[in-house]
Amino acid sequence: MHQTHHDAEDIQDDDLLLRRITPAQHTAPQPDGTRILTGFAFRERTHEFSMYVAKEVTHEKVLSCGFPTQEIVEVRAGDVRKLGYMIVRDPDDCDNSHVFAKASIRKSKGQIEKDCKALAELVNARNAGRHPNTSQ
Amino acid sequence: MAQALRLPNLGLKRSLRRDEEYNHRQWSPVRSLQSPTWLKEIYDRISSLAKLEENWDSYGGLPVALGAASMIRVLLSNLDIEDMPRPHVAAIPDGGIGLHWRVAGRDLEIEVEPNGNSVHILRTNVGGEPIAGDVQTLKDAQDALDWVLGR
Repeated sequence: MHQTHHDAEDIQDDDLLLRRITPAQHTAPQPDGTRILTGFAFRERTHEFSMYVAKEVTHEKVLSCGFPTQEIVEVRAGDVRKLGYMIVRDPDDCDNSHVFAKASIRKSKGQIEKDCKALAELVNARNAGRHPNTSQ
Repeated sequence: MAQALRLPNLGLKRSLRRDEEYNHRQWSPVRSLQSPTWLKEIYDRISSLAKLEENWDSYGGLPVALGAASMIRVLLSNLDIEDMPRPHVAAIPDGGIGLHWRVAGRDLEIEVEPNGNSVHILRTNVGGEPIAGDVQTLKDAQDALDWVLGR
């Protein structure tokens, strides 16, 4: 059955979205001792990645719905939209602030992989205190 | 019932199954002398990823599938990886498996599909746009490794 999804207009581009990650799988240790996020962190079986709206939930609540070893990464709603995704409200058993990213137009798996990588790099750049487009 | 493992033809030097040419011999080809120190550790990690429980990522993720685990071992066994730093190995929620390297601002992800029949690469110059591609031959994968090392 076809289901129509709508971008949540009440979620602003500057709003942060929280995603649980599994560090052992989703972060790669670097020679300097830091860890960087890989594109695998945003991958899901359905190709649409789950998140929670930060202004509506605490990190603790989001983590409580996962596993003890998990951590949270933050992405800007505007960055997700800029890659061609709607942010669809989808309250789940964990919290009403649950949303998922849904491609606005059909995307190939390769394109989704690229988008996930781009999001991971945005997180890495923010963690490193710089914007990815200004560094080499 | 056990199912036959189908592997893509990547121009491999040798297959997972022992080649007929070796069946009548009383020795096996030795490759480990040139293997990087991290290779056994990575093989062990691949095995452990196949034992993950379903929903390991709290989003319904599957354990690494047999086909993906086998294919990634075949790749690592057939590529020139002696000078490569230790990769990060990750389970992918659909049952696939990924390798990740980052060297001097060059970032490479190699992903094997759950059935082991498709291999994708994603190259990113940090700060730039990711470039995706499919691995059709071993040379494609080797070129990607050479790129990440800047050679």
